[in-house]
Formats: sequence, structure tokens, C-alpha cells
Amino acid sequence: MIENMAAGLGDLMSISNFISINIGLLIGIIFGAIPGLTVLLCVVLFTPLTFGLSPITAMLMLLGMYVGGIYGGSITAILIRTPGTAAAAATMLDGYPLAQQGKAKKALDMALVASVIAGIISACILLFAAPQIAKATLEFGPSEYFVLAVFGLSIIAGVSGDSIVKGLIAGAMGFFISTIGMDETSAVMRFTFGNSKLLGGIQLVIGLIGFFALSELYLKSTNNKIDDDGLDLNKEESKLTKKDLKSNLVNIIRSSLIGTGIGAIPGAGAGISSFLSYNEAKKRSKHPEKFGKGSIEAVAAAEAGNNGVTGATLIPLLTLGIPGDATAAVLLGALMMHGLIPGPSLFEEQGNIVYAIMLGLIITNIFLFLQGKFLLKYFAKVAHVPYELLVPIISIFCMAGAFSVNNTIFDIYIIIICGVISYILQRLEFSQIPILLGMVLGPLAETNFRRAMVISEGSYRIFVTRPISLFFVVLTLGTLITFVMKSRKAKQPIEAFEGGM
Amino acid sequence: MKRIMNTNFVSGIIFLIVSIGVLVLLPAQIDTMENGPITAQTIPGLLAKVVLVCSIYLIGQGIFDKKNKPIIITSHNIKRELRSTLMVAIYAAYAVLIPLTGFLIASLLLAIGLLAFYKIKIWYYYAIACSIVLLVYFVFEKLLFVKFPGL
Repeated sequence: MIENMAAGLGDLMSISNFISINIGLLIGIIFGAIPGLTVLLCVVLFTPLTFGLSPITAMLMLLGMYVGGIYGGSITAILIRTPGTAAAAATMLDGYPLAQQGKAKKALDMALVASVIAGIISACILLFAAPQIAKATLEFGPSEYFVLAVFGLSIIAGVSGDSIVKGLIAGAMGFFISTIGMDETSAVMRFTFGNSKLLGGIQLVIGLIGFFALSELYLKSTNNKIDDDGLDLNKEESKLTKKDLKSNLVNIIRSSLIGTGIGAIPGAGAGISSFLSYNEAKKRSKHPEKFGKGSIEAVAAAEAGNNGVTGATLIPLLTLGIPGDATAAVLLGALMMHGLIPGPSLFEEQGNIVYAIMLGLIITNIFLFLQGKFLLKYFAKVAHVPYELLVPIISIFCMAGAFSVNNTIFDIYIIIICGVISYILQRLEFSQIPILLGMVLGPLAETNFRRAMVISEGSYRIFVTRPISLFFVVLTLGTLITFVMKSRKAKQPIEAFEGGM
Repeated sequence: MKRIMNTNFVSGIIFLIVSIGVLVLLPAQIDTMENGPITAQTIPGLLAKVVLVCSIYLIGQGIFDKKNKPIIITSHNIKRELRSTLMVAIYAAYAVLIPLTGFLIASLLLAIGLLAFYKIKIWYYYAIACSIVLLVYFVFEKLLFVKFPGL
């Protein structure tokens, strides 16, 4: 291992590799930031262009896009309440309120620092523990995936705002939307109303654009003045201080580990890890009441959670040849295109290349920090752009992005309708986040529930007799009980005060 | 009546209707030949039932919870909703226009229409917005190979 690492380090250290990393990062950040453009689209489009490059240079460029794309989603999430990626929705919960309070730069800085630290931790774990972690993830079967999805859905309790019942409805709605289209297990059409364009269901990115971006535009249709006093980027309180960093270090490391753990599980994804990290940070915070209203801790947790996935996603990919998500599947294709066949033998036969890629991921995160710091001042200026000018720009990106998913105008109608639904829900004091959680976790939950039922021949005991599954069941119940107890405790002083009156 | 017209009651009614509608449509919309306990209908049906129960709870909360704030309809609120409706109409008109005029022209009209919606009279806002439309069109069509509808 040490010899391969040393050889890999030697292969990594070249100007062409560093340039390709930076090009990849910049492209990835742009794709991640723009709603409708996804990291997947970015990697798909640029993979053929890397054909002429060396395997290390090519993979580093694509990984740069992946890392940059995961981070890029937070920029628009913070500045204009429009997450570029599903994973950035958790960042948006507190990043946008911070931006409204004139602390856009602080939120962006924290998002960058948390992303970089998480990326480095994830890359280091990849480097030193990939084969061991891969063995553990092989123990994940349908029952484990189902219970993990239910655990993720239990977070709805924490992000529903004041009404868990409304959160449940929204979550159920998101889950229901994810069932529209052809059922994977039985190939039966579900709620397509005979429309062939709904065969593939409603894609997550379409839901993201409709429920978040367009609904925000409808809500702001009467707001056409920005209070510039709140957007002074040179104000002291808009800067990230050493105290902020120090007080959030444990939070960031914990969230990074959550992200790494979740990222190592094929199919789990950055969306789950960012919300899990957010929820965990809220439970441990001294000021949980600030979450959802502009807490820098929340931004740190969400971003560390989602970027912690970047290195960990490569664990099952490189060691077992199992892609964790669609983007990883494209990366798998890229690896094979460059003559690298993932699996146990890869580390022995082409160890120097594999270690160069893994070490390169650490360097990628360092360059992410440098690029991010340089570009942040330009990103933060978006907050100064008059809202009336931003609306048509955001609209065009949303429409073009929505069209590009399936090359059909039908998706544009879908995002308009989803926007209206989200608008009405927000007027009725529902949170949109449970809808997103339902859409992201619904397919994972249903597919694996049905598979588990087939394996166990209809017995629910499968969820409590397998150790990892039982662990997540206990964790879910613990989370829900803790939440209910904390809610009751929070209501008691109010009831006592009202009783005294 | 004024007191129970609050967000809990209204959302409870809406979702009660939606969940009943889903349960009524379920057998026709998910026509499965599966005969086990878990079928393609199971999860959607379960979700509709969860929403049904939650909406009944919300209706009850809307009627009996004294902390509910009533929905107050004022001319300001009506104006706000009308503006939002107009914005939705602009986007809907844009979607209808795309197959008729092509993506580029429809998008230029959308950008101009949205700026007019905000009563913008500064000429360079229009210039910037139209330039961004052209840039997006170029990047998506020529660099990302997305085939937009033409004229």
C-alpha cells in the first residue's frame, strides 16, 4: 500500500493534473449552482471529452466536477433560495435566512469551509479504509436500505416547522409523487392518466425546480425592492470569524463522518446525508430554536454532510465496482473507458493510478477552497443584483434546465404546476422540505420494502432480526421519541405562562 | 365561521378531498394483476390513507384549537394573489408559445414580459435579460447539445 501510495503521489504531482482539477471544479460549481443543470449532466457531457487525456488527468477532472457540483448547489441555495442540487436543500433552510440578514458572505464562507473539511476527511477515509468499509457495506440488503430510508423520512419531524402533521402530509405528498410513472417491480402504470410522458414519472430535478425555484418566484411576485442596507458584504457580522469556525469544528467533523458513512452505502446519496447531519446538529445544538431561522451551525452541518459523500461514493465504486448513484455509474464508465476495471484487483494491478486518484481527491478539495475563496466575492455580488433582473434570468435557466432533462415541453408544464402547488402549500404554512425528502427517499423505501417482503416471504421480522436493520429501527424510534419529548418540553413553559395569565 | 377559516382547517379540507380522490381513483389508475399482500397499489394507497387521517386531524385542530390565527382577506392579500396568478399565467403562456414560436423567441418574450410585469423602464435591464437568454440558448443548444424546439 505504501509503495503504491508513493508511486501515486509521484504520478499525481504534475501541472496538467492540477489544471484539469481546477477546470473540473469550475465547471462543476457552475453546473451545481444552476437549477436544472445537474452534476450528473455535467459528468455525462464531459466524460467523452476526457478520452484523449491520461487516466489520472481524466478522472481528476471528472472528480473535480463532482466535488465542485456538490458544493455549487449551496451557492444558489443561500443567495436566492433555489438549491442547485437536492443535497443543498438542507443548506437553504438556514443559508437563505442568513443571506436575508445581510450575512450572505458568512454563509457562503461557512459552506465552503465545511465542504472542504468534509471533502478532505472523506478523501482520507477513502484512502486508508476503502476495502474495509466496502466489506461492511456489502452487508446492506433491502431491509437495511428500507429502514435507512425510513430513518431519513423521520427527519420530517424536525424540518416540518411548527406542525408535524403538515410535515407528514407534505412528506406523503412527495413520496406519492415519486410513485407516479411505471412501477419498477411490476411494470404497472401508476397515476399516469394514460399520458405516455408520465411513464418515467416526475424526475427529482423537475420537482426541485418546480417546488423550490418557481414557487419562490411566485411568492416574490410582489417583492420588487431589496433592502440594500442588509446586504453590505463588508459589515463585520457578515464575515466568518475564527470563533465561528472553532465553535463549529466538532459539528463539521461529525457531519463529515455522517456524510462519509452514508456516502459509502450505494444508493444512499448526498440528499440523505445532508438532512441527517442537519438533524443531528439540531439535536446537539445549544440553540436548536435558531435552526431554520439563520443558524450558521445548520449551514456547516448540511454542507459537511453533503460534501462528506464525495470521497465515500468512490469506496464501493473502486473496491467493488458498484456505483452508488447515477453519477458514480458514469464515473464507472469513465474508469473503464480509461482501462481501469474497478474491483479488488484494481488496487494490485494499477495501484499507483488508483492511489493517484484518491490522493488527487484531497488536492481537489484544497483547490476547491482556493477557487471558492476567489470566486466567493463574485458569487456574493449576486445578492446585489436587483431582484427584477434576477427573475427573468432565473426563469430562463429553470425553463432551459427543465426542458433539457427529457427534451420535452411537458416538463415545463410540470414545473409550473409544481410551483403552484408549492406556492399554495407555503401560503397554508407547510414546509417544502418534507416534499423533497419524500421524493428522494420514497423510491428507496418502496423498492427495498417490496424486495425485503419477497425475501422474507411476507414476514416483517426481517426488519428486526438483521443487526444493521435493527440498529436503524432503534435509531429511528429514538429520534422520534427524542423529538416528541423535546417538543413537549418546549411547549411546557408557554402553557405555564398562559396558565399563569 | 370567521374563526375556523384558518390554515389548518382550509388545508385539512383540501387534503381530505385530495386523499379521497386518490383512493377513489386508485383501482383504475393502478391496474395491477399482482395478488400478494404487497402490490403496486400498497404504498400509494397507504400514503393516501395517511394524508386522510392527517387531514381529519387538521380539520379538528382548525375547529377546536384556540391558537389558530384566522385567514384575513384584505385588498392587499387579494392584490398579492392576483399578481402571483398573473405570474403563473405568464409562465403558462410561455409554455404554450414555445411550440409556436420556438424556444428562443418565446424565452425572449418571457424575459421582456417578466420585466414589464415588474414595471421596469430601465432599458439596459431588458438588454441584459435578452443577452442572458441568447447566452443560455447558445450554451444549451451548441455546447450541451440540447435540441430546443425551433420555429
